[in-house]
Amino acid sequence: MSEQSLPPTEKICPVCGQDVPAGEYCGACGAYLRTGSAARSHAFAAHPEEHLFHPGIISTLFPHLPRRHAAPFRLALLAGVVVLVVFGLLGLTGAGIATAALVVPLLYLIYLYEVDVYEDEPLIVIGSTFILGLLIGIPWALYTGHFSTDTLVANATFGAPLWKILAYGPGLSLAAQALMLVGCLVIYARKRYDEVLDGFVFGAAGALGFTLAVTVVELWPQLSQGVRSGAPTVDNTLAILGRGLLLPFIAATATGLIGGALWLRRGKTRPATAFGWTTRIDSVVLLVICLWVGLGLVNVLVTSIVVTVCIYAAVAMVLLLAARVALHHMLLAEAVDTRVGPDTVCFHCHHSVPRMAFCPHCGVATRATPKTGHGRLERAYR
Amino acid sequence: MSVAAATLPVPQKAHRHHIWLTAGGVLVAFIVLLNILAALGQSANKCVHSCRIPPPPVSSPAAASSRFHSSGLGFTLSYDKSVTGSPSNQTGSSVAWQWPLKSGGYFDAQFQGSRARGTSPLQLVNALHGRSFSQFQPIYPVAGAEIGYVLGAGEVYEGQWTPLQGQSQTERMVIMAAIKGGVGVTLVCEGPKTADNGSHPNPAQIGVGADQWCDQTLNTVTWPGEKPL
Repeated sequence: MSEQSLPPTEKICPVCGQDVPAGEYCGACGAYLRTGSAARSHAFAAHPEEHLFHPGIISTLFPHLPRRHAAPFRLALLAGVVVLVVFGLLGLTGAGIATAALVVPLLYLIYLYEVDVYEDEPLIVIGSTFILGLLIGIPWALYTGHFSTDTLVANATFGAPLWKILAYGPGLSLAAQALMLVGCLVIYARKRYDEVLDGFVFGAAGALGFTLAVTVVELWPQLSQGVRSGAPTVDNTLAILGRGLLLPFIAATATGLIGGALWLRRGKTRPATAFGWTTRIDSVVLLVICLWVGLGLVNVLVTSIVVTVCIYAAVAMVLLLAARVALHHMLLAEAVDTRVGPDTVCFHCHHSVPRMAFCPHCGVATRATPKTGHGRLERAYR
Repeated sequence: MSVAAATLPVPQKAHRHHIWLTAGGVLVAFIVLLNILAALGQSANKCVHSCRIPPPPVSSPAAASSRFHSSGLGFTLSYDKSVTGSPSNQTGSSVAWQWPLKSGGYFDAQFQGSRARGTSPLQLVNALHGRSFSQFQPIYPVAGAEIGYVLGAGEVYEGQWTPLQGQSQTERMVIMAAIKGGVGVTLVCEGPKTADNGSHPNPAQIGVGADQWCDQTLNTVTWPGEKPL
């Protein structure tokens, strides 16, 4: 059918060739119809009002969250940062540990509730991911917690042998990453969920349960110092910020990326584009391995907490951008369903649009919207 | 097929405020709980017996099975190999040990010799601390510090280690130095901070057993021109 014979409310997408509603974006493949751009890097597939390379922490770590529901999460995260800084500057051991352990995991649990990622199985999903991660993290931290610190202290004093540096630096970090994946793999084996962002969220939840347990167990010895820490104020503050924000973010994003790449392999995908390498499981695993090898070496070799936190922050920023690119392409790749569904209200732009793989008005991937109410319907099957 | 211009409400969870309040309550409760535990931990660590920091005891060196001799500087020391094993590092002017502790962590000890060149024992201590162990903060000076029965200087330090991956640990370090015949000998003993154990005061808090090993070993030091023990 030629473009001239189509009614004015339809057009042929120049990228996928489908007959789609006339809007800003192709509802089938997500391409930006004005320019015919398949990659649409100006519009992140989960939050199209943001550029692909916009360093949005909330939109990356909480991809199902609609724009209008993101404000409370931003405020809560900002409040968490402020509270951590205040507790760090005051040297409050118990308050600092509690806040560092809980702020990001609690936000994530609220997010899981808000967007109904678990559909009808909240206990199974949260139990298999977050709780399992927490239960694995406790013995892990109890048994291995001192190895890397002993190596760090040895390097700061008389030097440590190379095998200890490698085993207790990158070795322990990689082993921890493998353990963080356990919950995600339990859900993967059940074959019930098939969306890329399901894998991402399940991976992130497992990692956050793990980091919660590890933070509490590993910082527990600080409580013996009393209500206030004797460590230098700046060092204490940076350590609390690193533990409370950087480490959970890095662990959740890295584990989530592996989960997303695994889930992408679960069903059909569109043919790989020029950016197909960002969606492959081997690319993602290689990125995560490099990440933890680097951070593991930093952990046992760098004695200055200021330098350590700066390195972690830089890594977190790079990982954030890498995650956005990967998730963007994964969402574009898994959109194989070209059916035009009934008119429903888009969670993101609140316009009434035909239910398709992408909203024809704002371009958000339907699989990056909440599963609340009608959100569970017509989520583009593959 | 069309894209309507009007914006419409979308379904959202009921009682959304409840989940935020619940999360806030959990966070506050956990903060209170850990603060209480921290306060209890502080009171448990208070010195209840003799809290005065005594000088180290002057005693005879223990019988030792092995010996280190500095060929370049001429000082000698004896050590009990059955406790520490062989040195982990040895040069012409220094010898070091590292051994795991039953309570967890490692204990490090190092004897290092140098030409004094007009420096004082306290300057040796401060220079070594500033050069190699600046992460440790001074706690108190060691009264009556001696090495090989020669009066010198000493300081106890504490370092707080909180890596982003790994257990938070507090370490204690003792650095002592003495000079005789133009040769300076420094001792560094370092280990996890250990609580004072009731009627067994442990002022340096680096572990009673390790502390005793360092004390006995430093008393075995013989200086250039002296007969080794």
